[in-house]
Amino acid sequence: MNAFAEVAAATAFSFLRSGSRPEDYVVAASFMGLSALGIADRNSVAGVVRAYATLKNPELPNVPKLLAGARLVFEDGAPDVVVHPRDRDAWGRLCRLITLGKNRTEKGDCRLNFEDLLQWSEGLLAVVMPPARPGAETRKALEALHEARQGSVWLGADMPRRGDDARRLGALKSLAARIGAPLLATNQPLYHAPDRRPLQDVVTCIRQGLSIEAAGRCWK
Amino acid sequence: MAFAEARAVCPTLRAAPADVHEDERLLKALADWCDRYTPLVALDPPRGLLLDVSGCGALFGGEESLVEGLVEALGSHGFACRVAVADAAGPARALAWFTQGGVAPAGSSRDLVARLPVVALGLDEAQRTALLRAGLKTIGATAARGRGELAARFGAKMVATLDRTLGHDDPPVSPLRPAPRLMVERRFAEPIATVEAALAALAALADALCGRLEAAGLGLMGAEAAFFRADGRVTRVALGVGAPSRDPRLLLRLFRERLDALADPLDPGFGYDLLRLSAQTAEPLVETVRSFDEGAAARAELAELVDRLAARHGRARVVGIRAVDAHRPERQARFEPAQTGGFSEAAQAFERDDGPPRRPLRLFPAPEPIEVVAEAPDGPPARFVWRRASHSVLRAEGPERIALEWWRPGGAKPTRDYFRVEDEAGARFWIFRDGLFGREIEHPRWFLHGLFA
Amino acid sequence: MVAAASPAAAGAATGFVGALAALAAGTKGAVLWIRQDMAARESGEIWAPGFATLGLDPARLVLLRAPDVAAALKAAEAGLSSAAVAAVVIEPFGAIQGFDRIAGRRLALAAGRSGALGVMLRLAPQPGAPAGLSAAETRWRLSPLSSAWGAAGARAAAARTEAWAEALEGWGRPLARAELTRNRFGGVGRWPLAWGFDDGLFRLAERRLGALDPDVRRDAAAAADPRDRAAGPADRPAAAPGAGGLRRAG
Repeated sequence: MNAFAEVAAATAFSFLRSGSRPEDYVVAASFMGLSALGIADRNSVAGVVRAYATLKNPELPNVPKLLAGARLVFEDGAPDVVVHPRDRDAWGRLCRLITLGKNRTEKGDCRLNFEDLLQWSEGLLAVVMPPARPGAETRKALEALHEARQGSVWLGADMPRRGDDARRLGALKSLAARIGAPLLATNQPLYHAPDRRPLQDVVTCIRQGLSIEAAGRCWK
Repeated sequence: MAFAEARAVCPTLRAAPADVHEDERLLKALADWCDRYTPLVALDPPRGLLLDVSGCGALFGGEESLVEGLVEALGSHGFACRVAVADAAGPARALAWFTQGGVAPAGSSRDLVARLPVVALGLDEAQRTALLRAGLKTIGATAARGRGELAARFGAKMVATLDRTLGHDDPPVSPLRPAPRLMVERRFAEPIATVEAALAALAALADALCGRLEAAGLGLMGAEAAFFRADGRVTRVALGVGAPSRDPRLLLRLFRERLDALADPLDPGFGYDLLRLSAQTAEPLVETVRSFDEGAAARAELAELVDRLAARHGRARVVGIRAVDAHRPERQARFEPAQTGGFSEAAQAFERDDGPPRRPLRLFPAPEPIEVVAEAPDGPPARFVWRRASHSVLRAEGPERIALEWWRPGGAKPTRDYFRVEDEAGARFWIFRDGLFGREIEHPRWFLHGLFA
Repeated sequence: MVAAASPAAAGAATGFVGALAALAAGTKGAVLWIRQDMAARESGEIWAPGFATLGLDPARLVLLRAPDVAAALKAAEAGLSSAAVAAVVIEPFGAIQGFDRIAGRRLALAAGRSGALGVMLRLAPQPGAPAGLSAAETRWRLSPLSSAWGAAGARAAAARTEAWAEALEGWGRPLARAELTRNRFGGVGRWPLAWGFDDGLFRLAERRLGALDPDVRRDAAAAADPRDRAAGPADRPAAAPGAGGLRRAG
């Protein structure tokens, strides 16, 4: 078993953003020997149940620890934050937070502001996920969360291979050091195996309403 | 009859191998030459030509005169021919093949054809024999039988042939060259022998053509000038413009550019006896009020320059650049003939970097293979050899992973990891590894794709 | 006339010329870029995505692919004479013997009449200059410049963004060492130039010292070239629009 834990896996329950099922992730994580796997769908915890069910399968070579949480996506320009509740109460709080967002709009949609997270953040482990070009918004979010919940806040660090990985990581390290929050490595996977990329691309096309040739470079 | 028999009859008979291609080429050359009578010339292989001379009679002093002139001219080139003029293509053809030719008075074609033997229908052996056995010796007799009966016995195709030959059915001739939209021409009783005179005549034609375009509310998009030499040679010069135009001065200027750039300059030989200027394609052109917008004037100037450059150097060589949203870098900009694009269109804008540029200034259309020393599996190059010069890498950034389009036919190509590298002199390059080490390819190769400032 | 000092300097030379053309074109003019077929095979095609960074809008670029020098020169003359074109760049290939005194004069005259900028970009120059070059007002040689140099004033720009994000700037800003080898109107010299993203001009570069690069010290020793500071009236940032010597034909 290796020590890596992936905290921010998006499954098909992040509607039209991923084609991989929670079960697939659990199996892949198991075979890779990951120490833990965190399911974090967009403003939703729906994928968690299936993931738990798969853990029970006796054929799995390793049983990674399962983190059940969500990836909160905000309307007000704040960066995405992946949250995992520590205990039962915190889980309840997360569900209520998501419901709050869903009640604000029609079925399917969810509207959350960063303020909402700050109010409901007790017991939640939070990983701030910086965008392609982290700037003032990322700093403000990290600062606010760190002040409120020091010790349960991390800055997510990924390597998107857009050509500026080293620089980006350097900037994130700088930011994390200034604020005093630790970095947490993540891949933010959208699919569980490389051969699933075509499916991922197709799903993205469906979401954007474009044909595959027209979509150009709009996918990750 | 066999060759031996024929030789017995005529001992001086000579044999030469048939050359179908040469024959066809010759026929095409003749068709080209016949262009002077009408632009609507079609081949009727192996030895015939169909000319649509509707309305052309007047130009030649009557159809008889036309025929005489044609026979004489072709005769002077060494060709014996029979010419028939009729109301429709079918009868004309039949009459040319099976009679002495000549002009059939209007309305009489059907009767003349009716008198021809059934062989003039051009049916196959079996059908012809069947007709003869049925006692039908002439086309007229056959026609008298009634379509239903004939169709039942010989098939619908035969009836259609009959109709065409009699002129009941007259499908339009499909000419060898596309028919021009508008055309003006001038014949010279005294052939003009110098290029200057030809150009002056062309200028006059341009005025006339543009006048016709204006009357029709059109502007031409493509024009062709044809110079017919008295000895039969035809020189055609074509050009295109970016936007519909009926400006005779512009047209002439463009033609001058084009003629200047011809590999074989215009050679009048014994002189040109016919000059024709046609608008091959035309589109509606509404005269817009000359705007005071500086931008519009500049754009028009640019468009004219582009037209001139295209006329001289060839349309495909004058290109504009459009952004394309594609994965593969070499496809992200497309070169298009500048005449088609509108320069005022923003189209898709290219991304601007506000930091170190992510894309090089120069790109090799075919990435150049290089030898690289790099840390496996993902590391950037530490040193590379390009065109036999060695470079050591002082700075490198990347990878930028570009996975190529898996949906294109030909299957998935390897994923490219691009690196920006700077060597010891400060020169910056765009280099990629073709394929993921181990996962996709055992020993991936490296390439140099572009140069940065 | 702008020549690249080595095959690897083709990028620097192209950047320099591109920036000049962009300046000349301003907001309205078009740029006619003529390249001979062989030049593209030797040094690559100009690449629009890279040009956008230099402030040259690819939408205003007309590219002509000329089969040979004669065609290229003819087209250059046509472009220089047209009111719509603000700059003409011609990329010939090889020895260009056809470029004689007369051809050179014709280009200079056309440029002089219309005020357009004419630049010949020689990326793989052969030894021996063709006679036509005598018509050029200035002659330059471009070589690469290491990233140990940076833009003067870049620090100020960085301070505007989040201080911790300064690390995002990285290296790779277009840099070049431009050497003015012949100048009809003044002295010669060498200048290190750095591209400024915010104002779209090449400016004098300055050495970027600091802990960033261990090789900076090595660079500093090597580049302590007494010729680096120019003498004479030509001592000005080369891309300032007032550099009249470049306005016509170079």
